[in-house]
Amino acid sequence: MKAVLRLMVTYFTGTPLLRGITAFGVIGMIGGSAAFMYLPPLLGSQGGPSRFSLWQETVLTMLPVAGLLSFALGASLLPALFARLASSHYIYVLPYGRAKLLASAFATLTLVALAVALVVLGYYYRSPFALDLVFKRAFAISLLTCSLLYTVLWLTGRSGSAIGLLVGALVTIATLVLPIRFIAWPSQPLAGYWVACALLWGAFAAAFALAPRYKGAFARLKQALIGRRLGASYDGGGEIDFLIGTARPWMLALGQVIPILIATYFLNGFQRAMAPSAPTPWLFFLTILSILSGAAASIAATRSRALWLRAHWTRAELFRRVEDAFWRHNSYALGVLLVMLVGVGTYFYVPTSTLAFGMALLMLGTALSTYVGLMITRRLGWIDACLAVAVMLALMLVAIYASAPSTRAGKVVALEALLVVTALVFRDIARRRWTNLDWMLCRADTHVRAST
Amino acid sequence: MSAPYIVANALGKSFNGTPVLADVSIAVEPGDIVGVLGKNGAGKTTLLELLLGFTPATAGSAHLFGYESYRLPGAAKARVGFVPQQDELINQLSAADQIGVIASFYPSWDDALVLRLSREWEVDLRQRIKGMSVGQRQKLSILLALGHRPDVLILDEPVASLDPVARRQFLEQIIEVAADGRRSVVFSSHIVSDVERLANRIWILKEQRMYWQGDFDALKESIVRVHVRATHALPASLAIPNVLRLQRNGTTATAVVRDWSADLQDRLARQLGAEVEVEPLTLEDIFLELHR
Repeated sequence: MKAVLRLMVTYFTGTPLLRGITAFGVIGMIGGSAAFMYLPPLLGSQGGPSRFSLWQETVLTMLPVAGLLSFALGASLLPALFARLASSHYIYVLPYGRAKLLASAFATLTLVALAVALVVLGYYYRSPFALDLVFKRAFAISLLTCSLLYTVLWLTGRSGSAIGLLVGALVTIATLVLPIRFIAWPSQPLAGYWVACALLWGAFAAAFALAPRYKGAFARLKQALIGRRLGASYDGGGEIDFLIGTARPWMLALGQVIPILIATYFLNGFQRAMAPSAPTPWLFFLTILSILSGAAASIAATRSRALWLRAHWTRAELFRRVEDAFWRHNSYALGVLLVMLVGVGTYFYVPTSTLAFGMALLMLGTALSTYVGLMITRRLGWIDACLAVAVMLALMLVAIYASAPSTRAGKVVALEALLVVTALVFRDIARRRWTNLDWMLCRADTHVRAST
Repeated sequence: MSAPYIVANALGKSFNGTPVLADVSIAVEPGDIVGVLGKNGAGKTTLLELLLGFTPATAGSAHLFGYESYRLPGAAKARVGFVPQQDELINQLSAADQIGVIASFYPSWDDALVLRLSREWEVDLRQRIKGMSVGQRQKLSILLALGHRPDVLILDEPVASLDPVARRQFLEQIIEVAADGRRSVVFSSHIVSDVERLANRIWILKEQRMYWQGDFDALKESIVRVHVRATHALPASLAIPNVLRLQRNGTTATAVVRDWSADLQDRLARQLGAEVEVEPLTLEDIFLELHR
């Protein structure tokens, strides 16, 4: 129990930054929820005069949500710490180490889901809905979503390889799509969610508990099924591709088809009759995938040292070669995404203008994420991280805007032009950084954090 | 006499049919400080990992505190400390947080010991692990293995990253750990002088097998350099039993011999009609002679 609690505390407060985020989260959740519950009538729309102005109401309404997001983000050390301990020798020598580590992960996710459910309960406190049903529904959906979300962080964080990113993409889609399906059909029974949670955690716990016993057998099976075809040998492409990891572009490109097909099934079960707003999630998911394919470029700086030692290139020339290699690599994935967009769009009667905007957006997503990746030439700093997040959010917002039925074409073109300029600026920053590339500052774990 | 903490019988491990360790039988009694020597790839790490149950044996058996190592219960794990070859610390945490996390798994933890050692070894507990040097990280790893005062401490090349001062401090601490006669230490190292200074028992692994094991003094008495000086030319077929290396030069010969004894010395002197002088070897010399 002591170890489980200590691990949970460390997940939330392991670094000074996380301590701040968690503290804000707790204050925001408790303070916001209390204000929401005990300062009625908060919203004028619920009837009666409101004692607050509109902006005050907005702040008070959003405070619990912001607190909740901060609280969930506060536990972001969970995947990294879990992965580190689980893969170390400590797990073998710590008393009941495996069980305690697993229990701490489950308890942390339950805590986050509980916080979500309580905040939601606060929102519905003065509504006529049955609160026990609201609580159960919120708890079930958030437990599954959080489980999937942290699994995404774990998967993408532990692997810089294309397969790791693909699996991450698969779970990302599930994380985004499952709650949407649930929210879209509120009459759906909860049993499916509990079963999904139980299956997810059961499978994870079984795999984790049995990992040492079947590690050898699993490695042999993986080698037999995947390694020989994809990973264990290299027999093609140039030396530069081999050294910086762009030798197998088809793997990432074709792998994207699987999450797209799964998302298609979950979104509308391949039925062609779609609501007018249906292109929105489509463009949204495809844009995420275009960003993901570009993220592989974040490994470039670390891996280019071997190239620098072998080839007689200046750093500027090295950048040009690496940039070419990543464009070659990412263009395969982009090509598949474009084909999927046109194919899926045609099948579901998506308007031609939306398809045109979408195609440009996918190209921009790949370009921007490629250059964000190439910009990472040392420890991932706050400015770079914020810039990357801002760009990703901008892409997603443009995707939503571009696919809305009442969108004005001129505005979309202007927004995409702005993204083109941003990509060019990023390219210039990346080029300048590569001109002064210092491999002493290029840590091997940089790309892992960056891809996460 | 109390039961041995560690017992292995005909222990072996192979990967995909390739043996990496074969036919190792050992026992570690309370109070033993065992130094494990061997060239790279001799099987030192594999042996230590088998003893701790990190991986199942493909032949023979290993037992720790009477339990099969591979199925060690939690209570037995609380009596074991381990320092891996490369540290496995969590970069994001401070040293104090890392200690807190590991300490929470154990039923008892000696905070005073950890605090004292961290001061003596100049480990800043407030510092983030990511910013620590390799030596600092190694010191922290050792602190983590000592904090719960384990009965068996197993260290896989623990001093490889330490400077001479830190190495000496570490050795003193290990002696302190084993001083009460109830605890055991098993450590591998390439720094033979450290093993010589610390260990009372030696295991020498060669070509994935246990080549020699026993008390350090017995090893020094067993493997010696022998100088033979005669007044006449030594016979062409000079035969010295268990000879590892022989150099002859007319009336003199120098040999490194295994399983040496005073009887053998007398017999050889009588046979050859020569003066036989025995020169004890340092552990480093012994190790080098065994691997020539």
